[in-house]
Amino acid sequence: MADTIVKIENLVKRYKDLIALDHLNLEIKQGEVFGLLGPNGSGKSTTISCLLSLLAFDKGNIEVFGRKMTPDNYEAKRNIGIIMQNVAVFDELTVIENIDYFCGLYIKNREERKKCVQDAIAFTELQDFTRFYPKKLSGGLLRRLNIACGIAHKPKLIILDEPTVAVDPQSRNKILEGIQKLNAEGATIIYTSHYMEEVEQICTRIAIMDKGKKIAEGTKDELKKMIKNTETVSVETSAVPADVLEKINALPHVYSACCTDGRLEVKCSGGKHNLIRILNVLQESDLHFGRVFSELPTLNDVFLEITGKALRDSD
Amino acid sequence: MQVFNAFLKISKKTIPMALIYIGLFLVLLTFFVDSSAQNNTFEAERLSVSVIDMDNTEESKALINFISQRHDLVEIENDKDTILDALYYERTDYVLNIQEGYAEKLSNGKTNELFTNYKIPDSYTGVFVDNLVNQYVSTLSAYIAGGNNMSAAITKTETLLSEETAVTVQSFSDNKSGTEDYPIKTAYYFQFMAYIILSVLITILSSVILKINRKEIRSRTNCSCLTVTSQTAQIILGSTVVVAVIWVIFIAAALIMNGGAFTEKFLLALLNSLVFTIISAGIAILIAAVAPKSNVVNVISNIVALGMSFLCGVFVDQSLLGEGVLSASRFLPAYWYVRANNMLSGMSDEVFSINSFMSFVGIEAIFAAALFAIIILINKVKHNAQ
Ligand SMILES: Nc1ncnc2c1ncn2[C@@H]1O[C@H](COP(=O)(O)OP(=O)(O)OP(=O)(O)O)[C@@H](O)[C@H]1O
Ligand SMILES: [Mg+2]
Repeated sequence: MADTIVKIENLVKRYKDLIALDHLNLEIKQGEVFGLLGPNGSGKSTTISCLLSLLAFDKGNIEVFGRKMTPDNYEAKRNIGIIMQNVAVFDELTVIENIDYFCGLYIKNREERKKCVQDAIAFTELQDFTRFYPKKLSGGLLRRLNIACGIAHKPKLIILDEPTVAVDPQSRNKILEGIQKLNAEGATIIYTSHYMEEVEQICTRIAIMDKGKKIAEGTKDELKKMIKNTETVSVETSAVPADVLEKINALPHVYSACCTDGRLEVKCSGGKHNLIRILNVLQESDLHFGRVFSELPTLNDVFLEITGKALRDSD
Repeated sequence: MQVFNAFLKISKKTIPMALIYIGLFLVLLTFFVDSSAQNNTFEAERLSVSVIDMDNTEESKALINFISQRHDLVEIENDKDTILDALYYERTDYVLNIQEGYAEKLSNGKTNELFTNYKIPDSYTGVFVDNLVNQYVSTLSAYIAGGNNMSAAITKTETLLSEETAVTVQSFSDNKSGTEDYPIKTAYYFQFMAYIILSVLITILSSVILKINRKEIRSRTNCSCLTVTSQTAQIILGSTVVVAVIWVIFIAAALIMNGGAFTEKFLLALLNSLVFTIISAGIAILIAAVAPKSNVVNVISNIVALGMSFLCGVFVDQSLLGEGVLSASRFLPAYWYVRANNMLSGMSDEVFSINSFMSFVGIEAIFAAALFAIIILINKVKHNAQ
C-alpha cells in the first residue's frame, strides 16, 4: 500500500450560513493523479484553501505528509507546489523574475534556484517569453506561467486548481501532458476541474463533489460501474409509435426509452448486443432510421444519476 | 530576501510617476522662491543713471560716487535731444544735472535749485532716484548745519544712508530674507518638501505595498515555507530602504541649495524633515491598509497631500491663513512641521528657541507614533478576520 500523502477527515467549513464543505473525507496516496470534480461552487477551491491552511475551518482534521497541517507546518509547505485558480503573479515583474520570486520562496541557494527556474521555463515552454510582462501574455501563456511559478521548486505534491480555465484546446492538451509528465517524474497530483473530460483523461482516481459533499469516489471505471447506465443508444428516426416504444422498453437490459424531436434515446444497463436488438425492433416495425450512435457512460452520467442534474450545462 | 527584492523591483517601476511629482515640485519651488525674491529686488535692482556735472567739485564728485554705488552710471552728452533719445530708448532711466554752484550753495546751507533733471514722468524709477538724491542732500545739509565740516559730513551721510537702506530692505521684504545660516531659499525648500514627500511616498510606498499584498499574491506567498514574520520583516525593510533613499535624495538637494553648509539650523531642519518623512511613510502605509485598490492611490495621494498642504500653510504662509483654518490644522502633523520650519527661518513672528522647536518636532513624533499604532491595529483586525 502506497503512503498516504493527504488525509482529510470530516472537514466542515462554513461561510456564515452557507455550508461550503460538509463532512468531507479524502485520502490521497503517493503517486496518484487525484481528480476533484465538481460544478461551480461545489467547494473545490475551499477544500484546497483548507488543505493549505490558508483558511481556518470549523471542524475536521487535515494531515499532509503524515503530519497535521497548520499555518506554520513549513516542512509540509516546502514540499507542496500550488497553482491557484486565480493567477497569482506580479504584473510588475517579468516572466523569469516571477518564476524566480516564487521559486526563491523555497530555494535560497542562487545556483540551485537558477537551474530550477530554467527547468520550469523549459517545462512550460516559455523560453521565448522570459522577458515579457504578464500583461503581454495570452491567456494560455499566463496559465503556463502560473504553473511554472508553482512547480519550479520541484515539489512532491502539486495542487492545481482549475489550471486550464479559459485556455484553448491545444494549450490545454499541453498542460495536461505536462501534468502527466510531472506525475511520471514522481510527483503526486491533486487536480480540480469542472471539465469531466480532463479529469477522465489524466486522473487515476476521482472524487466527485457537489454542494460541499463528496458524492462518489473511485477510479473512473469504478465510478462508471456504480451506475446502472452502461450504454446509451441514440437513433435518428421519425416519430416512434407508442407500441414500438413499449416493445423497446421490454427488451432485456433496457431501462429507459424515449423519443423526442426525431431522436430515439435508449438507456441500457449491462448486457451485449443492445444496439442490434433495438435496430431489429425498428426494422420489424418498418420504421426508417438515419444515423445511429452508441455511447459509453461519461462522468457526467455518473454525476447526473447521483444528483439528478448535469455536471455542466454544456461544454 | 525574495519579498524584499520584489519590493525594490516594484518600487523602481514607480519612479516615472514619482518624477512627475518631483518635476511639479521643482516648478512650484522656483516659482515661489522667485516671487519671494522679487520683494528684495527693489533694493537690489540697479538703475541706469546719467549724471552731468556742471559744478565739478569734490562735493559733486562725492555725490556721483554715492549714486554710482547704488546704480550704474551711464555717460551722456549734455544735449537735450540726445538726452530725450536716451530716455526714450531706455539707454538711461534718469538724467541728473548737478548745477554749477552746488558745493557753494550746500556749504551755505541752501538746498534749492541744486539740480535739474530729466526723467520719465510718473515712473517709479524717477521717484526712486529723486528720493535717493533728496535723502542725500537733506542728510548732508543736516550734518553741515550740525557743525561738521564738508568732508566729515559727506562721510557720515554715506555711512548713515548705507545703513538705512539695509533697514528699509528688511522691513520691505516683510522678514522674508531668512537668516544667514538658514536662507530663505532653503526655508522654502523645506516648507514645500512637506507636500512633495507626502505625494511621493503615497505614490510609491502605498502602491508597492498594495501590489505586494494583493490577495492572490499574499495567499500564494503564504503557501510557501516563508514565515509570515519574515514576510512582514522584509516588507518593513523594503519600505525603510525606499523611504530612506527618497529622504536622502531630497536632503542632498537641500544641501546643494544651502550652499553645502551643514549649519546648526540646517541640521535642525533635517531633523524636522526626517520626523515628517516618517509621518508621511505612516500615512502612506495607512492608505495602503485601507485603500480598496491600487488605482485609487493617486487620487488619494492628491487629496491628502494637497489638502494637508493647503490647510497647514505649505502653499500659503500660515500668517495668511484664517484663525479657523489654523485651529483646525493644529490637528494635522504638517502644521507643526511648517511652524517649526518657519521658526527656523524667522518667516513667522515666532522667535527661534530650541525648546519650542523641539516641542513642535515632539508633537510630530507623537503623530508618527499614533499613525503606526493605528496601522498595527488595522493589520491585527484584518489578520483576525481571515
Ligand atoms: N470568501 C467567501 N465568503 C463567502 N462564501 C464563499 C467564499 N468563498 C467561497 N464561498 C462560497 O463557498 C462555496 C464554495 O466555493 P468554492 O470556491 O470552493 O467552489 P469551487 O468548487 O472552487 O467553484 P469554482 O468551480 O467556481 O471555482 C460557493 O458557494 C461560494 O459561493
Ligand atoms: Mg474554485
